[in-house]
Amino acid sequence: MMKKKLGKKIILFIVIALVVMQFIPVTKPETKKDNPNDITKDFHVPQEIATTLKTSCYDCHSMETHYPWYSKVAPVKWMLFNHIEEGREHLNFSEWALLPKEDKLDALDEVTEVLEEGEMPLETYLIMHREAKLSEKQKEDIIIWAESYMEDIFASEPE
Amino acid sequence: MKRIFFSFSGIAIIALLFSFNNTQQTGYTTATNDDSFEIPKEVLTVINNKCYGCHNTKSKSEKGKKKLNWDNFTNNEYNSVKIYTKLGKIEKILGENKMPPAKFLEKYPKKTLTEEEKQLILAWAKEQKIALRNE
Repeated sequence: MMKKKLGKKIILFIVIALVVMQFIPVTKPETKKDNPNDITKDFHVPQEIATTLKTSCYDCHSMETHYPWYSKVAPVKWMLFNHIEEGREHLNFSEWALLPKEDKLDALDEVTEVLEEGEMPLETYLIMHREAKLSEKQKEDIIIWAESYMEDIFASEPE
Repeated sequence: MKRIFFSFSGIAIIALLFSFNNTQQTGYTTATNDDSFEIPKEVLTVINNKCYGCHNTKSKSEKGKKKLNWDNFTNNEYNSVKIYTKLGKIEKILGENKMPPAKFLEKYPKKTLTEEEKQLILAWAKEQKIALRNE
């Protein structure tokens, strides 16, 4: 009898907590459709690579985030917004043209690193975004592209 | 009897010393210069003392090794573009006092880069970048 009552109380508490959570204000990272400084606008980025970047990286590494339905639900949305903010801070493909050359080199170097190490896209992201999973061929293509882009940046006139 | 005991322990101690010496020699290699990319001696000393422990091919820190491997500077594993990029990153990281990592320094405060050492590496990195550009 006692056990049943306690169980009910716990469930009620969880439900109330979940409801209250929904009213805690958090800022949703903004999105922008028109990004003139986007990396895909650069002639160094072939269509195929652009498509891969958009499919596998853009939700967190650009201003063109597609928010899923669960981005409206706390506490999941807190984690999600945090990931997006951190991702953009680290590398925002939508602001690519504004980066100094050395930052571009560093970013491309990191792109090769995280792909070689299998660090990106994040496993937690892939659970809900299976289409974002990169095949070995896609990884290889991006690494080759990034390295050749680095060569071009290095060979270009210093700023 | 005592004599035998002492001579045995003497041998054991000498053997121990030797084995210790050996593990040190094989377990810790240092970044060395070869013709492909030269690091001046004074810079190399700082790198060996403060950075090489995590940033080498045999490093236990996968992240440290992946981000920067000093062995790759001299064994042709990094090409000019990669070296240039890594040097730029070194400038940035040292400028922000992010290396060696604060957590690591809590444990090993002696590994902190002195201002002089930092300036030495920064000046070298800058110079090397210009040289690489003019190659």
